[in-house]
Amino acid sequence: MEEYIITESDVREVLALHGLTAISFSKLPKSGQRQVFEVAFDPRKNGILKFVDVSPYQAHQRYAWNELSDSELEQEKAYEIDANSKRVIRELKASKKCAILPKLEIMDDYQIYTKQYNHFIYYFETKFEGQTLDKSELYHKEQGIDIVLQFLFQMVNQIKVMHDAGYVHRDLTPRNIIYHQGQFKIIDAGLVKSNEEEKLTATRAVIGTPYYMAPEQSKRTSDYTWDFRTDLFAVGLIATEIFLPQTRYLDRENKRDIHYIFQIWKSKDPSSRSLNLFGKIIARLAVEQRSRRWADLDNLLHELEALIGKEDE
Amino acid sequence: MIFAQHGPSWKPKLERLLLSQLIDGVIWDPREERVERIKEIRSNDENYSSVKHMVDLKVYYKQFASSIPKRLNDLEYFPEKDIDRAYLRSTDNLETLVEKSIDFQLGFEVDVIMAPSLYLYSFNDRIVDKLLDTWEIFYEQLEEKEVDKGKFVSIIFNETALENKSYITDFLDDFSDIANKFDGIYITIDREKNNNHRHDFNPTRLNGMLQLIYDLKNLGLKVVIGYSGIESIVYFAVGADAVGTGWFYSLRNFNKEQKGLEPVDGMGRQKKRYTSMKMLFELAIEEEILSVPDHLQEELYGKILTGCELDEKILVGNIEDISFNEIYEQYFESLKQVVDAITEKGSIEEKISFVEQLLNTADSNIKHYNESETLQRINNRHIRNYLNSLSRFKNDNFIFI
Repeated sequence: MEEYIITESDVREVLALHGLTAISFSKLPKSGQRQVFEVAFDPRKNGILKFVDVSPYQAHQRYAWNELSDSELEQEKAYEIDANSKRVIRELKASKKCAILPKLEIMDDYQIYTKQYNHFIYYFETKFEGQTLDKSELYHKEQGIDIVLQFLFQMVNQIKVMHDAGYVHRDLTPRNIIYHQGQFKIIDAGLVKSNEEEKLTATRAVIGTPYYMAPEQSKRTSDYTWDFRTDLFAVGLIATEIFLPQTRYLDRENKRDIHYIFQIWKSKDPSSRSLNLFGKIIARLAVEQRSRRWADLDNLLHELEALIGKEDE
Repeated sequence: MIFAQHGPSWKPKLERLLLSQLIDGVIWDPREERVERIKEIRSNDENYSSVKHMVDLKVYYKQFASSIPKRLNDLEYFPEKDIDRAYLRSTDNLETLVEKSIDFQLGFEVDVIMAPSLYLYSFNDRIVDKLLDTWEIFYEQLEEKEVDKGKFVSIIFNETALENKSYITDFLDDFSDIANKFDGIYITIDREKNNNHRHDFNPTRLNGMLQLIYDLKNLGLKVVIGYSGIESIVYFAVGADAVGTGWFYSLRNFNKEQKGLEPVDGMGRQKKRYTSMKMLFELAIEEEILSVPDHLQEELYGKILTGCELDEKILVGNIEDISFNEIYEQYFESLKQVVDAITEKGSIEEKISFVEQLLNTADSNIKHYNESETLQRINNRHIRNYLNSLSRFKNDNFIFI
């Protein structure tokens, strides 16, 4: 079974199904299992149309290898589509509950689109202005601690909103953060999960992007209780990358060696404000031991505010 | 804060300490005294109501087959069966233990309710999981009973357990999932006996202890360390909230042999000591202070005496005129001067900086004493070890002073 690439005529078909008229639309780069289109309805109103592939590739593969009979194929297909869909639906549910995540718009809910053997879930989502952090100019230029502080303050605030809604993101990477004119926004709630859902749908699959993943993500058990500290780890690593671009190319061991990173940090900016940022904040975010990460988001925000305030003074 | 660690011949000592307002609370030991007598004395002396009360339940005596539980055997919460693997496998046993422990403490009118603790030889002991289970049960029962008091967990471990930081980290990672359910933790370290220096602490182990205190504080817990001595000052430097300490050395240093967990030989004669926070040392009054030659007294006494009530009697120099109760009180008075000064400091940087100054002053005073024509020599090994542990702690935690 081949992957199906959504065409312009498919988009027109979907829009027509919902009685929508677009003045133009363009295809954006694919993001994982998502094929993405930017649709302009009028000069001031744009939307992001996402098609998420939930096709039963494995069932068809096993059928091709004669591992399944005809009747079993139908059963397995249904099971695989359902399992793949659950992850997407979970993300959409989280988006509804978490104020900071992209919202569904134009249509009230997600829809199903079928093309031959391929199955897609599609929906319209809020368009965030800007570029993903990894592609942004900010990320590719040398930055000082003020930008790092702004990044941390905004990220921690958004993690707090997710935490208050009962969710943990678990896949924060520079590709899942949008940057635009001083604002950082978390996007892509693909691995967002509440602990309630964790108990219902636990699998042993590795979750997250390994380079930014907190250690507990690779050794969790099925009844694992996730909390915001898992997201703080990734935020600490990304903050370090913003300040010290060379750390993006470090091997995993050095990247996670907080004392090794400190030497590079100190040689770039040995001011007391910079060292305090490292000692009080970074060293308690990008630290492998979960118990040493900040356990109270309000206290962390308070400490960040104090460091931001020192510059204002 | 300084808590008096309840121990033998307690009544007159506690009365003096309460009257002089040298303690913030009492950590009661139901192994040492009948609960009815404690209750009666507390109800007849209103000074007791001005301080906090906690109970060290000491159920871990049941983990040692040859231990001497004394009065614990008379108490409802103290298990009849030995606490071994079979006992710990039963959730019913744990639930009953927790329930009776809570009821006992409510009847004792404590300010914080303590979870039963288990003795750990190492932080990767199998019973660590059972300890965490016990704490979860403790929390659930307190919630069910709607008990509106501080919830403290409690732990006792062998000093050697502090050497393995990765085991401690694993323990803390697990505990951190439930730590926000509790207000604090009460810690007892079972100190090694083969230590011929009253105040010394192996720097690797002390460093492990400082890291443990700091990590527990960062989890939002109040940290109380029982059975502490002069090393308390380094605990306070890294953020400890309170220590438990007492009049006898055995109340400033928990050792499982002395505490009847394992058989022990008799103890030697007690010396009258002066606690000098200028030297961070408990000097034997007769041998190490009164023996100072007359022509050196003015100079050296200035480096020993810390402005306590007892100083006058030291200056007079008659050892017979100094009672043991006076030296016990002087210990608390001297410790309080320093503890109050540390806890007044706002940040950890200020606290550590202040304690480092104290340690450097003590080191210099001891060196001066030893270089003078005195008959005795004071061992300052503990000062070097405290400084060494603090220095590693600062480096490990990126604390810049």
